[in-house]
Amino acid sequence: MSEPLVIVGNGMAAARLVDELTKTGLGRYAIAVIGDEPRLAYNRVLLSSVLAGETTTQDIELRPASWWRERGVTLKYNCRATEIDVGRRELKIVGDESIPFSKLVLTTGSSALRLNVPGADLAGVHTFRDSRDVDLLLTLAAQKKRVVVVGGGLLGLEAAYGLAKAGSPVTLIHLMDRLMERQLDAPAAALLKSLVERKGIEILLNANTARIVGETQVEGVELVDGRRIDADAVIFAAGIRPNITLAKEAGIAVNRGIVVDDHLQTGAADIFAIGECAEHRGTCYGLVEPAYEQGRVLAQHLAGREAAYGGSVVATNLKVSGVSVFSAGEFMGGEGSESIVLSDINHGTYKKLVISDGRLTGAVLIGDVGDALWYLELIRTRQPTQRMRADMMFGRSLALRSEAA
Amino acid sequence: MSAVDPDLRATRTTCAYCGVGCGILATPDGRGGAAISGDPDHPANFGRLCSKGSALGETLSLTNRLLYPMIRCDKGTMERVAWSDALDHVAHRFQHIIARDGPGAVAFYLSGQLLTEDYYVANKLMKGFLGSANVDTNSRLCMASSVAGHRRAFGADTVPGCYEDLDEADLLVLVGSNAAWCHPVLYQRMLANKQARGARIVVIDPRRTDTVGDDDLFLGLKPGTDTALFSGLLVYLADHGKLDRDYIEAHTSGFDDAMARARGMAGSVGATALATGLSEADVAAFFQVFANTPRVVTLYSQGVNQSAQGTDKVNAILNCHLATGRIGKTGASPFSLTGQPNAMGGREVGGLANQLAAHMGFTPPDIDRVRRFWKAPRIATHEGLKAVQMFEAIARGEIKALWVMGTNPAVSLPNADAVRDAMKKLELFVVSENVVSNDTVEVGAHVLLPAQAWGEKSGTVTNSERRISRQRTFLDAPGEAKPDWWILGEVAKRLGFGAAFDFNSAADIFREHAALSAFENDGGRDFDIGGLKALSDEAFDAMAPVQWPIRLETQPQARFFAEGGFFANDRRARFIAPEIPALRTETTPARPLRLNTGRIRDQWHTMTRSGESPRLGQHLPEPFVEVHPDDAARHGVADGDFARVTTDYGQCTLRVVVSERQQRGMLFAPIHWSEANATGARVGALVAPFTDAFSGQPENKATPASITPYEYVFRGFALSRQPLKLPVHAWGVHVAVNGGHGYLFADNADLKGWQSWLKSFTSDDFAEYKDFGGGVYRAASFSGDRIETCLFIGPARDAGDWNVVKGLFAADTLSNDQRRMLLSGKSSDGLANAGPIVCACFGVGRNTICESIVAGARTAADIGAKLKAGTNCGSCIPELKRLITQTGSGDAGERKLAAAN
Repeated sequence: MSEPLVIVGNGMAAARLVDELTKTGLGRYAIAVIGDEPRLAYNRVLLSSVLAGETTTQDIELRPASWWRERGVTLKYNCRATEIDVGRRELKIVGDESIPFSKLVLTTGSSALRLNVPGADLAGVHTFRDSRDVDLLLTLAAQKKRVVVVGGGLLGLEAAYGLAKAGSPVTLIHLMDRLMERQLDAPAAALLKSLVERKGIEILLNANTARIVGETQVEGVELVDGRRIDADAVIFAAGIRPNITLAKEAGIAVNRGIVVDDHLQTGAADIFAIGECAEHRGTCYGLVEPAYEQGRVLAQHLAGREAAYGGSVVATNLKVSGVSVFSAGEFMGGEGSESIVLSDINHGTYKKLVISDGRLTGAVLIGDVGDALWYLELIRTRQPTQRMRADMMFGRSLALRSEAA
Repeated sequence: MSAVDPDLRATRTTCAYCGVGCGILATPDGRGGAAISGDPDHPANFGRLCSKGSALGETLSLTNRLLYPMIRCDKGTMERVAWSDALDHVAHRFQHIIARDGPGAVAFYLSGQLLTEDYYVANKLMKGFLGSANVDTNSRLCMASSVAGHRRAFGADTVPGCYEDLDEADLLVLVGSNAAWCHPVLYQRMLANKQARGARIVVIDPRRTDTVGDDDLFLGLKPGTDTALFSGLLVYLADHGKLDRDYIEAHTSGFDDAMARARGMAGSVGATALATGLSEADVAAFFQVFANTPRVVTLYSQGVNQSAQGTDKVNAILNCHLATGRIGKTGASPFSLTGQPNAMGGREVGGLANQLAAHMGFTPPDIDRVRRFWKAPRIATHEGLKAVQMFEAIARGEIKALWVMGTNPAVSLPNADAVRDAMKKLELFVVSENVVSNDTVEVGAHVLLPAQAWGEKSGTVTNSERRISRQRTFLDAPGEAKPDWWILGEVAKRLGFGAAFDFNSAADIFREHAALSAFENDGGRDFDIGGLKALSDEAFDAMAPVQWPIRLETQPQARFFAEGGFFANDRRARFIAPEIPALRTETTPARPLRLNTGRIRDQWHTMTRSGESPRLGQHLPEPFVEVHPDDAARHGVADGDFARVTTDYGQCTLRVVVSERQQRGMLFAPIHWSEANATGARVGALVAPFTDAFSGQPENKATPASITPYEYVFRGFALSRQPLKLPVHAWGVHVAVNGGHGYLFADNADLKGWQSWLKSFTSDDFAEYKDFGGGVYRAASFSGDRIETCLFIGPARDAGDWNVVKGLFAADTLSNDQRRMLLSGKSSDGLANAGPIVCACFGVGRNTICESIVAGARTAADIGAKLKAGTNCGSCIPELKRLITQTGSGDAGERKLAAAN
């Protein structure tokens, strides 16, 4: 008899976990996936592409229904989990139904933060997080509504880019003095800004939102310094918050996220958490790759194999508003480190490599990201790079040729 | 060549460089340039050209040309003035100084690159009408010792042989001549003889140069000991019965004294070996082959001439040829190779301070004859000051007015720092030039007069074999540049000598020059071209290369002296008893080495012309000092590093080349670089100013020197469309490159200083690579797709590949990939290029993806299965689909269709 394994959340982490589990522990578990989104798991990363009209909402589905069926997964979507009974090993879902589990995995993900400012509850204030948000934003764009996107991180830039491409006049406002400050240094952020501006998006930095203006409907955004931007809609993309309520209410230890150990197990036995809702060694990751790594490790663990998750070297490696951006490791440099910088701003290129102790420890790339994964490998493996220091910037093939010579 | 307008015809002219005097066909391109090729009909070269001559087309740009007369105004700056004002000023100032201080207070310093006609007018003006013989020339640095040796031995400055002898000789002895680099076309002729006829080649030189072939006999003698070697040879010839007693008896005098002196100096092979530092075997081998080979040509050049005993060296050589009668015979002769295109022409007009005119000297009959011919009552009656002494007199304030034409004494004279200081004292300093700036001009010329350059001017030059060839005009003179003869003539008219300077063309002058050579000659003087004195303008224009003498009534002759007929009063040649060889200076513990100087293959003099050619800039782009490995080790200098070379006269900073070809105890540094194109590499400043007692030629090749390492932390280079002024703290050298200006440099200053220096003049379209911690800074600015300026600096030997970057700089457009890799400073040829990254998660590039589509991938999943692209975050899947559509609809789709058919 298979043990019941229940996964709460039907996102990318869940899909990857199922994929890994069915490869490694097929037959051991009877898997059920409970998700509150009204559709099959999809690639959230591609929502901005859907918004930008580069792909369709159908096309971003991760796996067809048949795939789930063939793997014997019980799929409950559009279905919210309401409570975990840790003692009885039961998950309660909407309608007071109880689902027993032997193992429970939380992949509840995160939600967009809404700023706590006056007017945040006006009609026309949205977030950009899921498929439903995208449908809404597409309607706005189709009507050429003027949109203010609040937040100059990855999410905000993606929303702004998608909206602008879909036809809306977009202003992006960001609290900090540079875009993506957690991933980019100042020159990289400045280059990204100019590249994004070339796509017709207005960007305001050091822009602290005082309130959303409007009677019942958004009419504009007022900043603390008094500037006012007229708008028909506001998108909050100023950060995410791990969805921890379910765990917290069940008495499972939470911090910012649901606290997990190196086996991705929460404070409660046989209850695990992966993806954006989990907090491992004090870190909540907001990217897909750590979630996939966690999924891989957890699947091994659940299959009874030795596996431990030691944390991810965070790398940002994607296209932001159509601009290739990579950032990894200790990219800001600091005490005892040295930076090598290549910039060709007019050609949309900025590359910084951070070196300490004869090793590559961080990198930021804009535009020319051809060797991003090589840099990531060098950072992760901590291999000595002193001998190829002179050529490393210009890519693996040149550096390895010189090293061979 | 295909770009040349077929309507533009080739002009026959003569090369601007060395004394070989090669014929050139210049075909103007109608845009100020010209295609250059060798003239197959010219007897000096039969169509061959050397690297320098071939690249003449690259030296015709007007960069740095002096286009208008300029006068230094009260503020100290040079201002453009009208010709008439400049000429008035020069004439008035000369007149004033002569009136006040006498004719000895003025001087002309001329050049072997002037045409004969220019030389003639300058000489006539100074000696005939200003009344001073202070006319000397850079030929003093070149072959004055040969002139003096010829005059002592032959009674005239006669080159007895001709180039054909190089084809016909069975033995070619090169003494102090790196002909492979300095007279390449003649050297090729000698090699052809060696190959075709088996002629042997012997090279006598302290330095093993490229002239020495693997199977040649090389005698690497101690510097300055040539006289001992040839004295030993004379003894050997006597002792082995190889003398031509009949010739000696019939046509010479002084043999016994010369032989006695030779025996005292080098009475045996052993004694010769001892005196020269050679092995007895080598000495014996040389003596033997010389003795047994009647057809021998001994060619000598600066290694013989540039010596405080240069004249004796020349005579020691001539003694051996006279004693064997091997002179003026087919394939048998001594042969002086001249360094400049018209050193010979200058000698013919008498443009040296110790000659009067037309191979006449300062004897009363000669003075009287020339006075009558020129109608010049104030003619100079005694020799003037030779180059080195002339500038010493300037330093002492005795000469107050100097007119320099077509030469750069601040670079080329010995003790050049002192020369520079001397010129600063001049009351009147006139420079006729092609260039608006060079070291001499920068000393502080008061008047700059724009002279026509090669290709613009018209007249004649004479090469090493006495062959007069036309230099013809094939380009319009730019700006207000004028022929030197016109400039001189206009000044002469303003001084009141109009009647004697009423020349309307170079042909006018040439006719007068020819007439003077024949005037009361009657065969008593070797130089006679009376046969050309009535040449029409048309005939002058059409004149084919012709060898003198060209007497009115006798047959032409290619050679002199086979049957005697020397030009001393007794018609006999003189054997000269030379002094025991001794260099003028001694090495000391503080100056333990001797500095030899000379030319390199692809540059010419002070590089004002050859330095414009990118092709010529490739060979040896940096000023260097060559050191023997043992000396390098002893003095702590290493190949490729920098060293300071110091003498009692000056100091230079040069790149070190460690070479076995250099003799122990000797350094070699090329003469070409100056303040105008390099930092601290003006080698003339190192050279001792000691001169030969007879010729006045300085000993440029043996100055006591020391060498110490000099360290630069950074090396680098810059390339720019516009000339750059490097920061003052850097050591640097300008190199002509295709598309602009190159600079190689070394420095110890902060890299950030270079960054701000560069940014101070470059555009916003700017790329840079900074690794300050690694000591690297590279940057480039662009204009469109073209590099505008780029700068590469790094730790020693790691600045970047100059040749790779130079190639990219020369291109009109850079591809995106080239631009991406430019600042690597390395060639990206052969590197795999995946194209821009599409799948960030797995680093899969567009080119790789397109290849897989062409190979059959039809869906994103297909691509994922093959390349993993799109299988992680999946965010590239839309782009994969786009690529499938684009690529698939193209050739792959067609292929599928074709397959279906």
